[in-house]
Amino acid sequence: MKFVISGCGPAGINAALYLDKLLPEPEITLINGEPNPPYSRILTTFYLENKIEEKDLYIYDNDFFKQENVNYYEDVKVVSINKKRKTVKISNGKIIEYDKLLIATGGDPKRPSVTRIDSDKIYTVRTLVDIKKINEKINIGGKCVIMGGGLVSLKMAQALRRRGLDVTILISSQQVLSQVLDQESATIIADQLIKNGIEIKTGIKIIEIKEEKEKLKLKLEFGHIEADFAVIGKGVSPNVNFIDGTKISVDWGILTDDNLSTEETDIYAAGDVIESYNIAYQCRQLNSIWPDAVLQGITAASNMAGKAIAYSGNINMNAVDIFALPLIALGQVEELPELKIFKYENKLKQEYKKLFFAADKLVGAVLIGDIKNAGFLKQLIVNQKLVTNKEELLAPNNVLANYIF
Amino acid sequence: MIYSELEKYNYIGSTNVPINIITIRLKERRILMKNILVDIDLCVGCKTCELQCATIRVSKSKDFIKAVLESPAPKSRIDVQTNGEENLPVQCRQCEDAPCYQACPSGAIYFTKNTDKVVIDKNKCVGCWMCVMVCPFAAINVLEEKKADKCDLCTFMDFPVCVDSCPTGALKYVESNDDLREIKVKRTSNNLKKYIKGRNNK
Repeated sequence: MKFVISGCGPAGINAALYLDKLLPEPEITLINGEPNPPYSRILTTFYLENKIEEKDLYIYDNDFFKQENVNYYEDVKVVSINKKRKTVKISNGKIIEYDKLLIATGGDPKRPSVTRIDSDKIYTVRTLVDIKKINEKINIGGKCVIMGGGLVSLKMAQALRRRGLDVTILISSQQVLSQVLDQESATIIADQLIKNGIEIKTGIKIIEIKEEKEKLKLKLEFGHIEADFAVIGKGVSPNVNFIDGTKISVDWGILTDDNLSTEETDIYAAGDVIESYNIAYQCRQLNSIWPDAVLQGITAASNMAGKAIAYSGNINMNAVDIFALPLIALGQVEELPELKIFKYENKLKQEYKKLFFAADKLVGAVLIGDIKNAGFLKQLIVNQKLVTNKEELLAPNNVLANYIF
Repeated sequence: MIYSELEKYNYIGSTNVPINIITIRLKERRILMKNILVDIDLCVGCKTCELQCATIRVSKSKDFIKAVLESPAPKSRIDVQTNGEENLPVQCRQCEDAPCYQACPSGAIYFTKNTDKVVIDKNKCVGCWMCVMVCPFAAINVLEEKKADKCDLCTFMDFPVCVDSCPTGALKYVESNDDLREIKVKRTSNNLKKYIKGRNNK
């Protein structure tokens, strides 16, 4: 059987490793769109802040890509799919046959719609190449502007600040992490950033960006700001520009069934490129997180190999460390009138917990400072457990006891 | 061949360890796998296991008196849960599908070659907290030094210190081929207790 996997992120690589384990000598073709061996994207900001070395980014065993049954292509992309002949064309002109194809191409960074944004002093953050470009740009005491207040933006801000730069975050909404946190929790995270020397400006509308005397000049709705370079962290949109002529349907991302099969025969999809079912919100969403990408990769591989297993969905979740203050957000974190909210705060210890219930079910949680029970709470949300004594879940100890006995 | 092995163990889990290790793991798991199980009736909730674990496995001094004074206080990898009547020590359950292993983006969580235990390589851990986010038993500690820490069944020592120190014999280090116990109870949300006690344990 010929398996072709487009994309070498966590979904693609784990699918390949799993196929290789499931079947005797499967013929696997891996197509990596980036000009470097597969690496861990999550580690790139740690690399930027010099916490780890470049070699630590390459977490996969290199021997796998040299195996006889593995054809590995680097720095090429799939440009089109011929569903009749069951082939894909890649950007170096080569045509590759497949019996089963996996689309795990992830996403491309979005760029905000501002005039004159094509300066070489403006960087998107997604690939290792992006990070290396930014790394070259770092000059101690320099000034950097980050557009967007999402998770990647905050991780970038932290890394650049730790490298000695002046960092300003410009956010169009009224708070940091607006996709992840409610306003109250976001304030705690913003305070932590400010305490560590990062400037945050919310409610910002960028009108124009100009380059003047080796500097970037950002004209805002009110006032302007100058910087040596700018970083865009506006999230990603699924990379699906090669599926023309197939029946694959795309909403926000590629739509799949429970077996991660697309509407086109023998074509599967996994990772950031697909929409998956979010149990907390009870709807399909883009849910771009590493653990899910791994699980989807494995699930897709199993189905491609002929062993049917279902991917039953997951919840949106995020974990991050903001200047030594750990944060985990799970599921539906919104101050809505229909949700019942329980809260615990200890300002001295910098601990803050907030739980969101829809009737008797836990649907969301924010843990700041003390995150130990996060995995257990995640389990309660995913399994839609009935919670009778809601307040007890805020306690640091004996949280499991109510469910074990 | 490998396929049938997988079927037999209902095994979902993989990633970045070299393939030969995975193969060994699948073939020999049943022989090698040992785990800590709990006789729930014998546990009196004295927390001796917690103290021993924190002192011997986590503290810097490895000495009880000095460990008490350490800052940050050493965090035990075993946690005695109680509802006032019953007690149950919980630590890493060495899950077959090992969600922490799947979630780790830095390659820090791996399976030991010979004993097949899920352990954390502290040198590779960057403190991203993905494992903490997915552990269904909340068994992963967040250390002050920004590293994840969890029970490794004292793999690199002779015997688990918690089992060694348990004064009532509630904690037992059991071979998987022990006829009286069945370790590989599949983990689901509804059988946490069974999972920790072992299937045939009354």
